[in-house]
Amino acid sequence: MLKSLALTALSFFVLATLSPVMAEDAATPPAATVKPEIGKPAPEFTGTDTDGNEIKLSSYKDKIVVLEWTNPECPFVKKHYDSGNMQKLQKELTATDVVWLSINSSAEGKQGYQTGEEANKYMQEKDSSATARILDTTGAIGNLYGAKTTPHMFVIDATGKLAYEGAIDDNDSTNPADAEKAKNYVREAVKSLVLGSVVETPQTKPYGCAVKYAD
Amino acid sequence: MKTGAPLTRSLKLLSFPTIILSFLLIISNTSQAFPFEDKGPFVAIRLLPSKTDVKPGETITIGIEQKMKPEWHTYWLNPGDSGSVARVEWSGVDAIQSSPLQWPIPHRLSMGPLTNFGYENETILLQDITLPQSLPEGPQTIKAKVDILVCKDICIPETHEASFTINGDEEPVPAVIDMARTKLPLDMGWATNLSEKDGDLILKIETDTPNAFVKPETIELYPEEWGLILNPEATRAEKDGNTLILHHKRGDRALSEVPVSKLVVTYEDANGERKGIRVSTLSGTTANGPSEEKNEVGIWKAIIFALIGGFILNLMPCVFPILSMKALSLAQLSDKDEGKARLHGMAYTLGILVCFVAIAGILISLKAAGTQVGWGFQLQHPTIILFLSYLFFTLGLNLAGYFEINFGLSDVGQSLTQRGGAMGSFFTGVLATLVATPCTAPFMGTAMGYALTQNALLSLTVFVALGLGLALPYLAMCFIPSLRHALPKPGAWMETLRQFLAFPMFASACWLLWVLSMQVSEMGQFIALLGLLSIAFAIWLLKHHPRRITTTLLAIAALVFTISTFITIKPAAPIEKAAEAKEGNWEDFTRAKLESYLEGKDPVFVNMTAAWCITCKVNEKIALATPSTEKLFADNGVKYLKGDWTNQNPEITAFLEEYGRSGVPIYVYYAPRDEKTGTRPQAIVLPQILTPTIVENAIKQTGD
Repeated sequence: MLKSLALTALSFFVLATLSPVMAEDAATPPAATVKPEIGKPAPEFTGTDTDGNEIKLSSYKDKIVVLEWTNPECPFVKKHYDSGNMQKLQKELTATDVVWLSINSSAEGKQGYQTGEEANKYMQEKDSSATARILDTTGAIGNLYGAKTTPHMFVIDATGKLAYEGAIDDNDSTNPADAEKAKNYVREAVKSLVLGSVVETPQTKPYGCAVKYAD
Repeated sequence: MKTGAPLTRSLKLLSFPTIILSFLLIISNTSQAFPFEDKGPFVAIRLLPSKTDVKPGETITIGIEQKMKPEWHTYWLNPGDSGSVARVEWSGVDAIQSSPLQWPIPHRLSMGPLTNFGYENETILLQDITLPQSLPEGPQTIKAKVDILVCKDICIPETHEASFTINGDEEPVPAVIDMARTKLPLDMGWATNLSEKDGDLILKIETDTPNAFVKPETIELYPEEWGLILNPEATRAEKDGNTLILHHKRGDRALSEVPVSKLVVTYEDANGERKGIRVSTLSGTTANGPSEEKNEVGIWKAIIFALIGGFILNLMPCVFPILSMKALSLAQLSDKDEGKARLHGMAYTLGILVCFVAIAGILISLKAAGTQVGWGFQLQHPTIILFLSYLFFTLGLNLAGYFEINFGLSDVGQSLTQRGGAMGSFFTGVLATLVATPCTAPFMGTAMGYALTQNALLSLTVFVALGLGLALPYLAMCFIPSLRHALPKPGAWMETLRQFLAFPMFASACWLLWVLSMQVSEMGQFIALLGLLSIAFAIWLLKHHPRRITTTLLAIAALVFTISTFITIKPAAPIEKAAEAKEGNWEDFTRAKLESYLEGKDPVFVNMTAAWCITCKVNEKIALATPSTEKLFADNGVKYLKGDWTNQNPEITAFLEEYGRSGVPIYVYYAPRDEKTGTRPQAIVLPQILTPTIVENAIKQTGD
């Protein structure tokens, strides 16, 4: 009697410990379908910058971080760089201790792919003030964040939570003249965070060319 | 080395750098930009007019033809994960007005882990343009500037200027426009509901041609709004009778941001042809937060509400007289007759329950047959209203003492102790139910709404609960002696009370006749009044000379006339409402009007009411038709839509169902569109009992 009782108890115990593991497996969806949510912690990532250094998101703890998905060949990115709009925003924000990470997820052989050297040259030519430029040629970070377009902007607040995700501004044309006049959601979001108020528009539809992931 | 040596050497010297240089040149050219097989433009744009002989003020349809280079594509209204929508600007003549672009059925275009929606090879967008009254004479060139993004794996934004000439030599191409129209998704206007559950977006469409969707596995969902679905995932569709149910993984945009949206559903028909339909929906979220199911009332809540509602029904002027008389008759029972009291209580309850189940059964089978029903449905039919008004009138006459047939209403004295008494109580129960049907108590609305949208078993349960609630007071008195002892002792005053109670009955009959007046013509009203007259006459005849043949015949004649009124009243057409001079700040509700207002930015207030709905009338008097509320609406630019459900109206029934109701009233407020985000906040469903403050708060809190 005691033996069977003990056996039953043991099997229950085993099941109980296993079930969260099983549930865990079942519950982990494929990476592509789970995207970071506004108000939730932004996923940690490790990337390689254009000088070959390792960049971790967690190393920028306690700072506001802006992620800019970019592709130098994309007409929408060109709109913001040719007009100087993106560089202006980068300068403005990095001057106030905001971290700016430009991320290029173009796979090798695809439009916009650059080596570290080329990227540095480009960065210098365009006078970018990005804190670092990450080459995400495997698309791992892009998939982690669900980056769909270039540009696609993410703003992470100082506590590590995602505060804004979406388009850079409210005019999805390719005309460089529109960049200056449009309402810039990134600037607004960072301003709200700095002032300690609620971000008015935390999520918009991103516009741009598709990120050139590997097939 | 000979003379050639320095040459060879210099050649050698030169060749090496040359090779390097050319190598570098080749490299730099290839790494700089993606080499195009050929240069752009990658799409050719042409304008195709349906008509070129145009008068001032006329509207014509233009086809904007796009022909893309192979493997290049352009985008649909919702471009998908990336890309952007084409923009068209008209010029050439001042003050041209253009309608929104009409988009052909799109295709899914996969780009690795991303999916877009658009067109390959060629497509024709349609747009209606209206030429102004000031159109000059002679040939005019109408120009369109088209900004369009055309992509293969990279994207090129292109700007095209295209034009055509009106009132000149150019030939129109109406046949091409007609062909292009067949490629547009069909606007079906089917009732559609959007909700979410377990990470899926669920779209339910009530089709009236379910046979078109013979291959549910070919169905694809294309929302016109971004972020509702995860674009790379596939749509899963199934048919459930007439309802098409689509599941698609959810995107990351909150449903509450999009209270109204349009969706295109494509499918392959029986011949393998790709077709599409377009539906519009009100998302199924209410002010109670993003509920997974819009019927967030659970079965238990519905049962409790039904019990309470049934109990309150006893206080309604229709039921109250019956209950009072029945209850008072209990006062005569001595404690010895405890068993008899219980018997009567149970017989009465049984009568009520049987009647309720029968009504429930009728409503459920009507619903299964596809008829749009709701609680109050019975009052949309003049025949039922006529029957009820005759019933109330007759009961009133009985209470007033005009005749003394034992309806079980005035069991004074012996009848309770007679054996037949129990049957009498049963029929009193049936009677109580019948007179209760025109009334709706508070709480009943929610319970009925739940009941009629669930399966048969749950429906019946709620109806039984309602019946129990109705029977409860009398049942309690039958089983609890102390309650009976609290009743006043019988006396002559009972007769006076009985006669007095005739008046609530007559009042109810009057009200029903008023409702009838809105459903039939003046002639029909007159016929109804004559019907009442002939009932009274027949009763008098039978009362005074029951044995004489002539009187019997006359009585029968009168009764036959009464029955005939049911038929003569029916064909009468309802009064034309439009003829009524409408004073007021509201417009008649139609679905089309609601949708067009919701697409704009003004706040919208929807009030669904019916002539026979007392709660509605009271609410209107107290909270809506007041000067302060009217001013509030005017100040905030509120578009007020009123739906009259006195008679059958499938659009209103569908609207009620979308908010989990099956009866009126319902009050829904859509706050104005936010200037910055361009979206409307969640719609607010106001409570069924309104006060001016409630209305004010709803408008002030969300307007700004």
